[in-house]
Amino acid sequence: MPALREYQRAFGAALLSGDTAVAAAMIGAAPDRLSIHRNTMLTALANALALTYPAVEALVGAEYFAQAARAFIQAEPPRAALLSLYGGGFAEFLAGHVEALPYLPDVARLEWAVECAARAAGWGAAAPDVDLGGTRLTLVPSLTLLRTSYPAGPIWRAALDQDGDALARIDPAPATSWLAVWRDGDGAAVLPLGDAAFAFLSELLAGGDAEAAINAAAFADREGDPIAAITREILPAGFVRLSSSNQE
Amino acid sequence: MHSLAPAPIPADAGIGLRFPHHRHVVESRPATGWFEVHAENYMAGGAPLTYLETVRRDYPVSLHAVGLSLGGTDPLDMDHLARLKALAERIEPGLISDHLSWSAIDGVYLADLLPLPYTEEALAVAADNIDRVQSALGRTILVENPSTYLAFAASVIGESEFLAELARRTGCGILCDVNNIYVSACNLGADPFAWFPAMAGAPIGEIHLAGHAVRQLDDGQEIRIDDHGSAVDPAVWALYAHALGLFGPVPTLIEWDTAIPEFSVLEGEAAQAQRMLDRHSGTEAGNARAA
Repeated sequence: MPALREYQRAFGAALLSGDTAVAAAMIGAAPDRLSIHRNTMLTALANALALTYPAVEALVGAEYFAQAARAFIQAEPPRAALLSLYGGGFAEFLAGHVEALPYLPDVARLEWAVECAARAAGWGAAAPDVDLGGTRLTLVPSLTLLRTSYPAGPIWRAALDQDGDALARIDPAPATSWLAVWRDGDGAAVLPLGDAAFAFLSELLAGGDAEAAINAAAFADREGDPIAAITREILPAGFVRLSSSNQE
Repeated sequence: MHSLAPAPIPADAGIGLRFPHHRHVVESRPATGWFEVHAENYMAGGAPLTYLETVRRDYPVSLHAVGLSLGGTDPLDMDHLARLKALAERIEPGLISDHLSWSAIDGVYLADLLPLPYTEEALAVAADNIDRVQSALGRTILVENPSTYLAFAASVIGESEFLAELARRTGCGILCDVNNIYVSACNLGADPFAWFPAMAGAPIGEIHLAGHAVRQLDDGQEIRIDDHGSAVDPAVWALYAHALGLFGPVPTLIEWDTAIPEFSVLEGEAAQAQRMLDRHSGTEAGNARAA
């Protein structure tokens, strides 16, 4: 009689490969009975991916998405029993497998950032903040920044809205964009940023002070007015809270 | 944060709370006895956890895990156990449960509740894992009989005997899934009523009820799939009546996980279970249990 671990190794290999004959013979069961478990596993994992990547699914269609999901599951099965956080490598996988839509990995990276932000702590947890000469600027703890090589933000939005006209109007050519993603209520919000605002926030998130952040913004946009850009883009944004630094 | 008052799970009908009903339950506070959730769906935080904390302020809550892999030969995933412990500290659930099954091998999580051969070796593996989980959590858990589609030629112990022995060795309770008893018995050509005698005197802490699907395999065999996607089958209600006759009133959960209907449909199923529970609340078995 095989040891329990040998059964489990054979069973696991059968589920991942789809070749159920060896494990079925070891167990003494019909191979199609193991296939029931394989279907349950694939359905659960593909559903988890579809929940995290709805825009990718809308862009490639359900059938193609199911194929890609199955290939990804085979290549990178989950390492933890936490399916809401399964699939962080999907963007990289798509980059290697889907050449027809070069912007797809960027859309997937944005969806992963959205999923992570939606699960992150909201206001109340410890957050980066900085003193801007009398005004304290606090960033929501869930804030993450994303640099994309394609216009992933508008493509993502149009795909989620299933707005074919909007999608057709977007030029999908490579074009660097900067996005802020943070938890907002039950989900996450996404806001495009200019290069000065992005540089400013990147420096703050890296632990820099106000002076370093303003210098980074000025360096990123040497021709514009970084202070004006920060005032216009960041101060009114939903990921920022302002307070008087004299109140402490 | 204020700590929550303890809320044991009553011997009444409860409902498995799923994401589509979060808002409804929080906003309309239905007259449901208690709720159970899949623990893993709340471990990543975010809005789901916020809903669960709100629900817990008004109802007893049970945490039903699927990821501990109690029958696994991999070492227990201590990160996962820590996540469950953290969630339990936050929610203070009346019950915590997982399954008599395994889900992980060589560090890969297979996202299904996989069957065990019922052998002395498997009994020792499961008992050891349950011991470790219970000492990490500082409380006993319930272990649920799985739905099965295949039997191991190597099995030498009956499933209910196996569970009763696990309870004896570890002090864990038993979550008796009546739909799973029926599904497994049909799939393996056994008598579902034959599951119960070994449970005489066993610590039954909870009952699960759910619907299942009937499918044809390629070779024409009929198989019952535990998909939790329909109303409880009449044959399962009959088996539930038998269980109540033996165990007396036990907290009973309605589960529905695929093609999730309006909340009122679940309330209808729970009301049916409650009527049956009420009929047993004054019985000898019920009194023995309460004593």
